[in-house]
Amino acid sequence: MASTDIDGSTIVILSAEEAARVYDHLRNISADWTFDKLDHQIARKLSRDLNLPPIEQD
Amino acid sequence: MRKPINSMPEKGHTAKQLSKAVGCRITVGYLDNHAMSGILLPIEKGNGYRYLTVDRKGVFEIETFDDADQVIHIDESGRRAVLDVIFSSPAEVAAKAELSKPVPPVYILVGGRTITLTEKEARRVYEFLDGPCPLDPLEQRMAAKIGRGLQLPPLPSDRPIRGNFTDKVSESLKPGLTSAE
Repeated sequence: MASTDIDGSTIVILSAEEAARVYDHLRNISADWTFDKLDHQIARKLSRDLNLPPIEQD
Repeated sequence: MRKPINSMPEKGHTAKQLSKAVGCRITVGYLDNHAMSGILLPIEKGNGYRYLTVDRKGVFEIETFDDADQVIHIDESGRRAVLDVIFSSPAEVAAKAELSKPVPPVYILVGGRTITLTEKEARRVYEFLDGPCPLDPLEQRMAAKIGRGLQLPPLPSDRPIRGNFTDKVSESLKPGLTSAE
């Protein structure tokens, strides 16, 4: 059964280890890949919650 | 008399919402120990909580915590089944006996940092994982978790590793022939 937020929407809970892997992936592709709004949103959330430096894009 | 089952909090990841999760199965992550699952119960006096769990031998144990920073996951799927076990004799007797014992003043820091993704965010991460590179075990677990949560088809975990060697072998094979031929 899927986890849901208070409004009933589906959420997925990642462990810190899993989230760090996603952060690394975003950081690695950030040089060659133009982030869209959703990518930026994920990158901001991960860097904030994991206390990691924000992923910058030119 | 059976304890009424509280309504399941759709979002029960903070201490403020723990009261709504009483009677639910929870999984608590500790900074210095492995995660444990159990049924959340209030303590007899005060505002703390404890949860009923079982050890590896199937014996009921009470774990106590207060000032919880975070409850990692409240799992509705196993709630009723586990409650049925607890409220059936002799398990109920054992549970009540445990509950009647005074709670030692032990403070267990509940931590285990987690990051919650919305469905859209999780779907994007799933797309990242669905790339050409083979997945390592951590990525496989993450893909399985997201796929399960969003009801997406599982990603192939046995992707062939593409590289110079395999590409050259493929190129050397003439059309219609196999390597055995």
